[in-house]
Amino acid sequence: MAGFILAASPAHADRIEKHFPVQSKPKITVRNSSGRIQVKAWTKNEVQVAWTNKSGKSVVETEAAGNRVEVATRANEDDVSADDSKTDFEITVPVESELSVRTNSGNVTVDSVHGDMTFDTIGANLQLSDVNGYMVVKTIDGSLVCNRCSGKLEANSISGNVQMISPTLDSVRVQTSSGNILFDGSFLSRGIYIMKNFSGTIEVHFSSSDSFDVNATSLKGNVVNQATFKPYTHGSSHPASKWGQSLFGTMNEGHAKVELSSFSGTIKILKRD
Amino acid sequence: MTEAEAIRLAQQGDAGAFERIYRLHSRRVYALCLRMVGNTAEAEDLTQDAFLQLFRKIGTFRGESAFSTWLHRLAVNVVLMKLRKKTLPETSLEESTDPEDESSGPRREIGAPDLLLTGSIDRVHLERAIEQLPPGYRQVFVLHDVQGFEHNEIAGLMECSIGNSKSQLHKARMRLRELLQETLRDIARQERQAAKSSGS
Amino acid sequence: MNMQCEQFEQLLEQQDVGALPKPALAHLEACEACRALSADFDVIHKMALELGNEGMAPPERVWISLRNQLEAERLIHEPQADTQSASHARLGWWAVFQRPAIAGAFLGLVLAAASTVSYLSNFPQTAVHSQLAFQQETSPVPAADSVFKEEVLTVGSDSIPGLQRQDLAVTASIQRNLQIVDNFIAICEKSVREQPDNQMAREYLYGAYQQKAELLATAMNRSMPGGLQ
Repeated sequence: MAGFILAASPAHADRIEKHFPVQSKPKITVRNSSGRIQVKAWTKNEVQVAWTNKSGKSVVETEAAGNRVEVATRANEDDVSADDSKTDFEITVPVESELSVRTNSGNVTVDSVHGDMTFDTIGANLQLSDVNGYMVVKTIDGSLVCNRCSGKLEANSISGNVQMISPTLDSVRVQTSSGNILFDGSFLSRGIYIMKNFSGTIEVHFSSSDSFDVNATSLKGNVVNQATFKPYTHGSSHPASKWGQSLFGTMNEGHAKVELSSFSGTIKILKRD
Repeated sequence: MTEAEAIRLAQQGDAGAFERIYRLHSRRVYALCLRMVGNTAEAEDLTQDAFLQLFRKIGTFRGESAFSTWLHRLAVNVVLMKLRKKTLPETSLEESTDPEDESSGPRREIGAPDLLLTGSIDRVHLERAIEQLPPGYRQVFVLHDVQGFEHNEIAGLMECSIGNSKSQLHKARMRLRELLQETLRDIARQERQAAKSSGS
Repeated sequence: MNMQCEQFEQLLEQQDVGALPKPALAHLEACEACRALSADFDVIHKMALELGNEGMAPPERVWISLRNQLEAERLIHEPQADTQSASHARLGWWAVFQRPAIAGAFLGLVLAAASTVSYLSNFPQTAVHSQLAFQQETSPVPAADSVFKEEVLTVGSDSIPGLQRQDLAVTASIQRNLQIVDNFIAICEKSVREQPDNQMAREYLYGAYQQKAELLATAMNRSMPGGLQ
């Protein structure tokens, strides 16, 4: 049975809070224009949505149907400015939840949620901490900081930076055009790590116990390497690129596959310890 | 949203349900396409085509077979159709598909030392070896050994005889064995060199 | 022994080890080489099955492009659009988009761009080269390529109806990033012209075209009424 709630925010910044009982692994969808979105996890089988809108020129609609909770802001009059439409959210969800967030600007933080997540933003910066799942991030110039993320990450940006700090990700596909990419963590056995940009810096930090095959190429930029690689140990030898700077090799047994490529940026493969 | 709910809603044109179905199955479909064609750009196009056809036809799905089976078969058909249009002579099962293999496919050299693959190869080795197979071998191998289709199904899908499917599979396995043994020999050689250089 | 091994191999081609006739099994018992062959096939088969259970996520652009196609074919709709009053749903901080016909035409161009880009990516390199060099050449350019270059790649955010009246920060962000992508396209085109057999440069050019198409699609999407839904 679908529940539909339409709550107009008052003209001052009152905090409005709604609670939705859910079963395990609910799907939470948030659509916002601008403003902060904070998502945290708790052990209750309940989704709590709290928001503030200073101008009162936006309404927040919430809908709960089955195991789904949808939250969306809409302007309730014409020509509402970005400032007036700004709505800040604090959302608390069960640890095992699926998230879908779409917003234009403002920071988005997600903490300790386990489940698949998609984020679609224009300029919103995104910070994920201690999350676990299959994460898909699409942004135009927002940055992504992933602290202690597990699972799989796919991120695509034009000018945003992407940082993965202490990850335990077994699949990474990150692409940004002018942004920088930082991977500071271990390459898991059988993991696949593909990082690509156009003009920024790609920096990966490895430890001497890591086991991976690397293929790093910068067409017009440089490849800076502190690792000692053996020739490929996985069958076909890779042809050296006749264009740009390339580095191919295997570290230890080559259990993970690392592909780094840049058009004119610098690729750095640096020792972590 | 369960898969059954998603299918029902998708039959009514619900955008969220379409996305749910895509998220549930796109990884397997993409992996299938990628392994069949060995090229990411083409695999992306084929994945999109497969889902497009699925969503165009989803109204006709009545649940007689498992949805994933239905989708899988459809994806295979999309890939094979594309390959047939594009490179019929190259991938035809009626011809030898390996440019280096002018006779009956790879044969064992009797007496040559065999390196047992058990416990020595991993998924990455196998993935790379599959990539090196000629297209015709690769398609039958992927369909049979990776995707689990039976020879009669492959024969139907690829419009060839069952015997032909078996023969291509056998040649594919022989070729893979050779490639994997080559890999093992490379590793052993490199280990010897490393031991030599560390000892000197 | 050789003959027997060959016969064994022929039988193995026709059926799995479990279904082999007794004489073949006896040969297997006695012949080390055939045992090794059979064991290796088993390893390959088991590992291949494991591969079959693994998936690989396609890039997000596949879904974006698919969704655009589904929308263009009117195969999908947003559920809320049916349930809410039009006046309520159509008001937003997104300025009301007055000319849907232009929006449709524009989306068509974006889709044309996407398909042309896809077409280009599979094109032989000489064809890509001629496509890129068409400005200097007098030979006629295929119609689809002309449309792509003249109608889509030259589009800027100022051409997108509705976008100007949006959130200024969003508009500025899209404009800034369109400039970045246009700049990359120009650099990649130059590279491909100079080094037509440079596969990596061509891949980057393809990626930049696609990025532009996706960026324009995003801009369109966000400029539509209820663009966030």
